[in-house]
Amino acid sequence: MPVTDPLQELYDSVDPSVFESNYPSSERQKADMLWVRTHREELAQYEGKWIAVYNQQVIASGKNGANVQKRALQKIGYDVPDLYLRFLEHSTCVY
Amino acid sequence: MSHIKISIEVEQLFLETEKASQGVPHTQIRLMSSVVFVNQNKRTLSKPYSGILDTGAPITVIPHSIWKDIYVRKLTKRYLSGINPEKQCKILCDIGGILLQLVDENDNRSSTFPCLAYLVPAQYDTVPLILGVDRCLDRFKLEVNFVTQHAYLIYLSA
Repeated sequence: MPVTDPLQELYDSVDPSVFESNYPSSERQKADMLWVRTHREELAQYEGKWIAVYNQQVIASGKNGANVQKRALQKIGYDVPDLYLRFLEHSTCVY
Repeated sequence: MSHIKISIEVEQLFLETEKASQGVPHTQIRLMSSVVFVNQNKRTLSKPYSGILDTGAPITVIPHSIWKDIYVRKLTKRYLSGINPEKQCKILCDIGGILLQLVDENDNRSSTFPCLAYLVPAQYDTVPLILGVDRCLDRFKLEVNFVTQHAYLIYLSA
């Protein structure tokens, strides 16, 4: 009996045109990512939590990423498909 | 060949010692890459998430807040543990297949590829996205220069 690779099956189950499609991204989101990267010391208070960042400000934080995103979108008042959501690992973590 | 820029995230810490007058400066550096996933609907890609590149992690780890919305095929279950191997510190996770691309701020992107991942349950959502070796980082050539702070992933494998 031939052995099948479930990962290859997974890959084959998606229309390849999806792989070339655009993903939600904007200059604002890239700036938000960069802001987190360059302000880690200031964000130490959020270690061990998820943060939602919009226009280089933390607009929501908490232990559950889905809830943080929901609260952040409620605050903004409209849908932001590329809202930057990030878990900030503790500085004590070995990964 | 796609060159994907890696972000080098630096955090300057000062570790206090037993002597109040002394301290140890410590620079904490993490290599981060942006990742997009094929969504649950199989028709779109997710927004970019930041993942830690961890060549010491055999398998990718995905928190529930991310994998709940992406296309996942659950394959088996396995315990996940970290530095403390005690039984009470192990988490039973699904291991599933996912489809992802690594991307960067200049809109470079790798091909889409499938990889295995620990799917961390919702009650343990306080974990980062970790990009591990098996069928993820092992598809890339990794170039890192910590001195000049330049780092790239070069996609090699289909």
